[in-house]
Amino acid sequence: MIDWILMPLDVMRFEIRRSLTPGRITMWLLLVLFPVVLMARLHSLIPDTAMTADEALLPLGATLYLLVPEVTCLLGLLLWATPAISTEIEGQTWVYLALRQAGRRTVLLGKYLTAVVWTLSAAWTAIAISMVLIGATTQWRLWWVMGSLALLSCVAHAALYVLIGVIFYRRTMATAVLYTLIVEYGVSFVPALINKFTINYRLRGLLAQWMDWDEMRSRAENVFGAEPPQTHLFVLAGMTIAFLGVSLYRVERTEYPTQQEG
Amino acid sequence: MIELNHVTKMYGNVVGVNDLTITLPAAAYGLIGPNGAGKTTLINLLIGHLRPTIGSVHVFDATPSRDRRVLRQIGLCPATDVLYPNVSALEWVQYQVRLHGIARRECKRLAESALEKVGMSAVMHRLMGTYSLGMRQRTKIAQAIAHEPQLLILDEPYNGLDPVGRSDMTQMLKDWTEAGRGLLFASHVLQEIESITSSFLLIFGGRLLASGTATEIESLLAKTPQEIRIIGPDAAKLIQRFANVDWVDSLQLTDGRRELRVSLRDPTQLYREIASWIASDGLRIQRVSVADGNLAAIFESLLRHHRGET
Amino acid sequence: MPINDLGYRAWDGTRSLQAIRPWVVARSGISLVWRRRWLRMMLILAWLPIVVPAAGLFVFEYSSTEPEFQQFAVQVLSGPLNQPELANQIIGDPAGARHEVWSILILAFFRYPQLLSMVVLIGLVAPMLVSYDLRTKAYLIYFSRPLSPTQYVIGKSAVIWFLLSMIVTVPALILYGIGVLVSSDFSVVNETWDIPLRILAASAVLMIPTTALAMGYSSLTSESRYATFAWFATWAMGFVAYQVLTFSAVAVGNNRPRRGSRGPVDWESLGVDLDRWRLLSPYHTLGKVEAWVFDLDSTPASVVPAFAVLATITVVGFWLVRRRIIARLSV
Repeated sequence: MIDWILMPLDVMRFEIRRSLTPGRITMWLLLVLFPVVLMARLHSLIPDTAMTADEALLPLGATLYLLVPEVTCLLGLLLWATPAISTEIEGQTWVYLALRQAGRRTVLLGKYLTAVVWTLSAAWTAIAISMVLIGATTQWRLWWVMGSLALLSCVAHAALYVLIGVIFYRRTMATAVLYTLIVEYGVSFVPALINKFTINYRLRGLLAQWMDWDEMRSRAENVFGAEPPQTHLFVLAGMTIAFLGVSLYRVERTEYPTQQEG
Repeated sequence: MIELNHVTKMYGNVVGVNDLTITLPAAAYGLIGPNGAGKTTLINLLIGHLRPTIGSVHVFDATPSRDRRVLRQIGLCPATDVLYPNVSALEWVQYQVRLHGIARRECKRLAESALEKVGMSAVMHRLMGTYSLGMRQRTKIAQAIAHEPQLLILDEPYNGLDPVGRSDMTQMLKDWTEAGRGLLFASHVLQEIESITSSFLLIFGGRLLASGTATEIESLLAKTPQEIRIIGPDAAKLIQRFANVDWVDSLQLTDGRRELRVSLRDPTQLYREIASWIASDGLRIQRVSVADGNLAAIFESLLRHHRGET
Repeated sequence: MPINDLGYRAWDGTRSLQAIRPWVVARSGISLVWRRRWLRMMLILAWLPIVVPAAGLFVFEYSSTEPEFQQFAVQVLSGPLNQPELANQIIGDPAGARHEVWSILILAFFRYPQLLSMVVLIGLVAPMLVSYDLRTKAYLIYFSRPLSPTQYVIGKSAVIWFLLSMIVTVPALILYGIGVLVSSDFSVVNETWDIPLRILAASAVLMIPTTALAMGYSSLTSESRYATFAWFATWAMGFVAYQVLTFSAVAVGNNRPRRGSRGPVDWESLGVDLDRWRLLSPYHTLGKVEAWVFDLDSTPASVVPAFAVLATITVVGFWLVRRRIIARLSV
């Protein structure tokens, strides 16, 4: 039984091993440096204003949230999670995995874990460097809020992107981009029940709650929500489990092509 | 070992395989058919990658698409190339073995043993991106046998192998079958299979046209119409002979009167007479062969047989 | 028979012109792509946004005779489109406002719905154009014929240009045609004859550098997912970088637009320079040049740097593709 739990970890180890190439490491560095550079620029403007360190926490924190748990995590997962199946199909290696007794499920879970690990490492590194640069190393709350949100974003969005990759294995990245733009950046701002079923709405709610940004929450309740953190966490967990469950079900039953298509 | 019961697989409106029914005990079989005949579809059905549209597939008394435990008994070397450029053969084969649920500590031993059997021990630590086509082919075979399956399915395994590699492969497969394990060898080249097994399954247009030993198939074909080519400077002089017999359908002289194409109703008669005609008439004949090569002629003959033209 | 006797060399019949050969490559690429039902559906969906600017043209043309339409047009121009002076001109001199109103509507069509469609469509089609040929060594089939790398690159690019013209140029020209048809008489063509030419110019500005960029990414890898990721990441990161850097002064300063205030925001007075970081974002760089093409550029900086960036992307992108092909063909 334990062996079956360890198998996705072996898949993760194999995937990480084969992903240590100059190109992929360059992409990892790009994902780290992108938010760091922008945060450094933002921080450089603060001495010219009359803002205190505490007052600056809001714009810096909000920008850091946008750049890391949203942009960095989503881009990293777009690269790692969405093409989980399509890479194997394109490389004509899916048949080797499908032939194994637990190949399909194990590989899917392993690739999910790989995507989370790769992206989260970039996100946490970016957060750490940004915090040092903006001199917020003693802002423990900001540390753990950003770190936690990056973790939650990676876990939930990776499950979503894996599901998109399992269903739309032919045009997976474009589908994920469209979904993200329309749902996560469009629908999540709609002041109605529908936005409560988006990941970004839940993450923003946690951000405002954990940072005690009550004024911002009250001014824009449709953006930040009013539910307690437990609700947000519960819904995120439920969505993650649902996405992964459906992905595992679909990957077992779908007859993916074994020959390359033009 | 394998039981197919009225198996049909449709891809939308396209027929992959059509009403296959056969029971195969554990032994070695050659699966012969031209490209697009349905060999890969049949293989994908046997490994549970595809579910039949109609009918049932059983391998070792289990349905592979539902009971994945049976996949532990099957090894597949597909026709498609594999390339993970940044991992070594050992790492990849080990990974493939691990995906069968075999314990970690056993995986490396099994992988090394399999790579040794295919002659890849010296280079198994090198990255696969540096391998030639033949080396990748051997690695593919290693992953197919590493977990010690009871049935080995090979789809065009000789692709990319040089003559020495082919000889080694042939010996390995003979040893495999002599150990009592099952083998299904798919190819469109008859001679490759003949060196391993004498039992064939002939598939064409998604249908199983014939099955049996080479002798049985040859005797079947001997009774079906064929087209023969007779090539030589005196080929035209045989026209008179053919015109006087009733087992010839048509004659065609081509290639500047050097090639005579004869459509025969009963090839066995030709085989009985041709040598004596050539000798008694003192003719210069360089070659007698079937018109389109062995495989195409076999299938053409079988199709005529199935259409009732014999 | 000599060892290196290639089949086509024995051909002594008529050969097509050199200039037509890219078209052969393009035609096969287009027919392959056109077979996909999802692509045809996408092209249909990409045409849907034409309804909004078409309605805008209709409302404007009828505003001279229908007071309700005029009021509506003034409200839209004063509010969401941030053009209060133009709104006043509609009331006083509708004919004089025609050219600018049409240009604004067509430019908005370019900038918002069609740019998104363009990014998604190219992300779907372009990454595989060259990377698949490299992966499967299909380029050998191309170059065993009398085809030069430049002709190959142009042919492949033409596939994308065709698709983009279907979702950008053709609907924009149709929009202009709708404007003419819903106006009172054909004399509007005298006032707006330059708009179709601007549409073609803006299309060229949109299509050429974006195609070069996408093709460049596609040629860098044999795995299309990296080319697709690079394409989408370029747009996303550029857009976010521009927004953060440009509006950071507002974010950290005490000067912000007053809530509920109407009319255009004077970003300069708030310490925001809309042009300073523009070149980081392909979306905003294209916007600058397209606005200049339609004579609607409202920001003070020169358009030359934006042009230079797009020209550089074009040259580098096509050079990269050509070089990668030649490198593969070299022994």
